[in-house]
Amino acid sequence: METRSAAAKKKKLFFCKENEHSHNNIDRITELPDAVLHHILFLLPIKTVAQTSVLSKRWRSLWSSFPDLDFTTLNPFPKPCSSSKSHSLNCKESDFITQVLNNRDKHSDIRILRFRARLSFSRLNGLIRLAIRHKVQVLDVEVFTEDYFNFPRCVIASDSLRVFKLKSRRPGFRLPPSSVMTSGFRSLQSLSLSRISLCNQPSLSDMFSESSFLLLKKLSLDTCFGLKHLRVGCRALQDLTLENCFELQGLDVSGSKLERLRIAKCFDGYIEKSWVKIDAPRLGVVLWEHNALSDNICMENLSYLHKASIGMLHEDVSVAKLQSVSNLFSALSLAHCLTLESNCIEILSNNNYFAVYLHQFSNLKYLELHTGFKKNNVPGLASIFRSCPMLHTLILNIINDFKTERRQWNKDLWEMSNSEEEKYWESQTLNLKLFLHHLKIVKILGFLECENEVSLAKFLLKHGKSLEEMILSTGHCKARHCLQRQKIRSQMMGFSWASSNAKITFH
Amino acid sequence: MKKISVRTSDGQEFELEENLAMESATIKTSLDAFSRDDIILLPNVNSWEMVKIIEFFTKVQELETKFGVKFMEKKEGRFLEAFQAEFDKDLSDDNLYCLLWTVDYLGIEVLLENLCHLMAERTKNKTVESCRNLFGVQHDYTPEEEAEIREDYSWAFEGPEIEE
Repeated sequence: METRSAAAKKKKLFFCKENEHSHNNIDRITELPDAVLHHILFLLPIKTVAQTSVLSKRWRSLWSSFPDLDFTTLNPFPKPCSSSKSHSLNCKESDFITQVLNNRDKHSDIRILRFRARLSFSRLNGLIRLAIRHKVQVLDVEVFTEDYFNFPRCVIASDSLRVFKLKSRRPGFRLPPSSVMTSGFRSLQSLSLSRISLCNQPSLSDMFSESSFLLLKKLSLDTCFGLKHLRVGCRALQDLTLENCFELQGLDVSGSKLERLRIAKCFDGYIEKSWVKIDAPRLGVVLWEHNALSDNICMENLSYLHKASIGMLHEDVSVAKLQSVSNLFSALSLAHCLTLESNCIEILSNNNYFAVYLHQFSNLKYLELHTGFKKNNVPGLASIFRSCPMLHTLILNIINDFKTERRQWNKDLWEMSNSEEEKYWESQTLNLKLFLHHLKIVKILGFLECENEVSLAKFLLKHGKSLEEMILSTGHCKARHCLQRQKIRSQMMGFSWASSNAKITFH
Repeated sequence: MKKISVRTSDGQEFELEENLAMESATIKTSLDAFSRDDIILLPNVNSWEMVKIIEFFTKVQELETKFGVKFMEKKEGRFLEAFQAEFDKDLSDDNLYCLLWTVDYLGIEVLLENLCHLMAERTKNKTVESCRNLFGVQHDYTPEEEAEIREDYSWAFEGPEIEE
């Protein structure tokens, strides 16, 4: 590579006149240093980058030293069909990845290697070993194998590996014992494993302990068959995701640096004694999605909590598990933003337990509720509102799945001065005093002018002193007859509102 | 705001605002070594390139006010598009290379990023031959050597190539 001063002299010689460039095939672009050319190549798909190797010898060396090899831009993941044609294509694919790695400049390191392929374990292991030899930093692999395979142990010894993602499609892979997994990974900051068979080690209590994976900041475990007990305590961990672990019975998470936690579709809902223990005082985001309820949930009050989302797998729970629900709510009670899924709201609606025991969400500014909004949900919603005295924004996302008929707002109700629902809300006026005092923005999606939502909207307009904006949108549901909508709208606009600033928008 | 004077290769002098000048790592180093009152000599920079660079920063400020985004700190997708649309139309291929070299020499990271994007856009969907013409690369392979490479990397040369 030319030195900059030599290139500069050359440049000066050729380009000293303003805008006068003769098209005499001088290799202009060669004067750019390797780093700049690589920068341009980073923005192109790998196929194009490989093609440039044919331009000239310099370009060939640029290709063989190109550090980011993302083969996923080449083609979509091969379809899982067993025809021989597609099988041979996939073999060829992993062949050329091997070839590219073999043809590389021996001294140039690989920064990123990313690919998706269908191949045998020995080939996979070979590829990974080759990448490790080139000091790969980011290794992101998705594979489709014939049979279960063993975790490629060669990655453990790598000193350069910072990010490792291994995703297996059917059937999956096995992990080595903790003593092996924790013996290396010296530089690993992010680990993501998907589709692991843990039937031979259902209890992972010392793999992710305080003394292992010392630099690990992000851990994601997805689809772990047979995992019954998990303990995670890595000291540097900031982000933990656990998904699709349906046999999980016990979870113990601790970390003074943990900021984000996502647990989705986990826990065995059928066994007697399951438990969760979370000790992570700096948690800022907790996403608890579609989980079966455990008997015992222990989570300390999270004072840094900014955002939380709660979703349960089932909509009814035994009385024994109600305490867990209460603990969960209590742990997340300092959140600023909260989303509650429909099963959650069903549980709250069906149990008077919560009319008394629901904790105050004293910091809550933003609340999003997903619900079918049936008649029985009304007292549940009222008790939720009562727990959020400082709420600023309320979003009600009505799920219109047409499984249950929601009572339409019809002309009988227009005749009455107050429907039953409206009477109920009026009776809650004193209870909801603080809530009504602070609420500024209300958005209702899936607004089909049914009794429930019209009553609620009218109530909020009538009493919401600080209300600024109300948005009522049908979303993607089929809207009702135009004339009826107009009548309902005029009825909603035709009484005095508590807030003179309020503005209502219909979509 | 303090003004920094620079002189380009063809003797023209420009006055840059200090914060603009500091975007260039090279100028910044010179400023640290010498007094700010001296004129900085840039013998590797042409005046038309300087004009372009100043134009870039002016446009950045315009777009920042328009979109309300701090461009230097975050690279917003639509911001990049707006920039590319405005900057791309009056920059010939030749000028783009020269500018790339100069900006790399001056060490202006954010402009370099954008110019690389522009260059990448121009390269997309071109055949090898048209790329060769675009870049003005000297073909130093024998036909046999070229055929060998094409054979080795047949996977890269498969599929439809779009003619320019």
